[in-house]
Amino acid sequence: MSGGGELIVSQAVDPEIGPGQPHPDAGARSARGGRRRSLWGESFARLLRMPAASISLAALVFMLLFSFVGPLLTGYTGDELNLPIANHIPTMDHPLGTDEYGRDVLTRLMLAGRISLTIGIASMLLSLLLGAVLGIIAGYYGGIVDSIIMRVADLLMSIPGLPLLIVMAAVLSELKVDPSSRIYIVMLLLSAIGWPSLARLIRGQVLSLREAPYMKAAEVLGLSAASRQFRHLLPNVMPLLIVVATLSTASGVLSESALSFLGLGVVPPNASWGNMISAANNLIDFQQHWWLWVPPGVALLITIAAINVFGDRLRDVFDPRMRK
Amino acid sequence: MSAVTAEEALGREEALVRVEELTVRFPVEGGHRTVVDDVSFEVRPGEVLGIVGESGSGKSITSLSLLNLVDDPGEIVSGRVLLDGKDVLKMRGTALQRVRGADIGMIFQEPMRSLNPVFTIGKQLIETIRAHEDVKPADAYDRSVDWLRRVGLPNPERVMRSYPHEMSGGMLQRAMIAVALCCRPRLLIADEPTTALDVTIQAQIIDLLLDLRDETGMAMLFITHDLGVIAEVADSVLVMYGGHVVERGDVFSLFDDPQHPYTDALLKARPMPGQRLDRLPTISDEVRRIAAAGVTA
Repeated sequence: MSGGGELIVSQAVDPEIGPGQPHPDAGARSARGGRRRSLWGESFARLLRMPAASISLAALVFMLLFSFVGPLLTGYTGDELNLPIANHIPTMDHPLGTDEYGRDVLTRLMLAGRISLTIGIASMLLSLLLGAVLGIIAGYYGGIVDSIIMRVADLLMSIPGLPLLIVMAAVLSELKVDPSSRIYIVMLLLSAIGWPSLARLIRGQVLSLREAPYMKAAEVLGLSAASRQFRHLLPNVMPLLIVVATLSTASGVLSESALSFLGLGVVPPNASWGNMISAANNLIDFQQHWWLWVPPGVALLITIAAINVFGDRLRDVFDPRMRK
Repeated sequence: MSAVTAEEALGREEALVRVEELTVRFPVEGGHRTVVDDVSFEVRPGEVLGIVGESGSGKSITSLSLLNLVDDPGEIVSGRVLLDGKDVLKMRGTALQRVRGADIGMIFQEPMRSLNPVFTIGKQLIETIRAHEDVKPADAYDRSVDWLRRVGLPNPERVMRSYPHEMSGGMLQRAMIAVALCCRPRLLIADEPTTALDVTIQAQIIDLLLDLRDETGMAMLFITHDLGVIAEVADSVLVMYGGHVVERGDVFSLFDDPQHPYTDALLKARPMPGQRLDRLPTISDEVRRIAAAGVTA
């Protein structure tokens, strides 16, 4: 390194240039208007002005209400058997028909949504926590710590996710855990394979941000290492974190459905969109009872598409450099 | 080691910071390169010491060493940095954090990138004050506003709520000075604080720094490659080349009567207003060799 005062080693990226730049006069404008909007508020307002973002956000809110509030309104609990009307075509009483035990498919679809979305969000949170902490530590300290964390991440990433999940789930199936605790196991499995890519992404950001002069300045000002990492570095990584968190929720929901479809994730009597779709495996159901497997497929499609579109628009707002 | 000047023999006031035989090296392929070689100097209270030198002469690394901030793979091999008789280079943890910010402040070359873009100026000032002193948030706020006013920022309450991207380079450097000085350090290290600013702003910032020096009695270590700036701010000057101090002295004798051929050549290489030349004189290899050898005149 040259000693000539060129402290600036890398052209560290600056996430806030994104939200800030299109409104150079934002400060002046909002000051005149009285209340100042925060950077977050401003970004969010900009997000909602995009049609795709507001539509997908509305779809997501709908799916959340559908899953979490819906079951309270249908009048069924989703597990009462009613064999005389098993596999009945949709009627006014059962808008999406009944399944092989005469249970209301609409109610089960909503309950399945609860489980699928909960697993998606919980596994995202867990892998985000793991990924962020490990990524920041690896990026900030470098050296041997970095090597150990990133080699473990590489190891997990080098094995394709789904086969790994299937193997792990199959092993766990042999342990005969009861159906309700399987849900937690699926969450853990998903976060176990989800954190490495997050950690790698965050580490990359931290590597460039830690060379930023303001990180040096924070050190010069005598702030502690923990404060520098989590109070100064983390907020700068936050926009990226929000984007990847959103997108990884989608992949969490999808992986859970794939596992449950194969009978290795959430198992009956608990419903999940994946194990409901597996009705299509049965030739008779596939040909004659479309209401058993079309609705969960549509619900899954809407949810995943909405999350992905919303995540994409989030990225446009927070991180314009990643736009294609 | 280096030339003992008349100035040094005269003023034997107690030093605020004394750097003794500081040597810093970086690993290069097949060995080490010494970027700061056996550098000693001292800064007295209220004094402005300028360090000049070209890129790579070791002036920034020297200043970072004062705060024990030389990053890996750089390595402080030997030497002492004495502040109140204690060696900063031997400090760890909280003792070091106390020195940084509270005893020695520092400002950088690029004000636009020296403040965290996701926080308001106010939050960064308050955080710094509260990191070093046990004060109530409201008091820290008042003190922050006061400092923003002292560094000449108009409408300080508004600045408190501003993010760095909403301000110009000159304003940010003023804000950065406020952050660096808000815990009343006794020494301010200014590492090319005006290089990234245009000339009129440059003059304003230098005036501000000198005013604040007079007001607070702090000492300053002013690093630059701009001899014009040095002539304006410094009481005494250290000329560095290749990690060595090639000349030191008070600012007048240095400019009037440079002792080392490198200093002489450096001064001659400046363009002079009103003087028309086809080519600017450059520093000859011979002079560079003498300077790099660490031989002083």
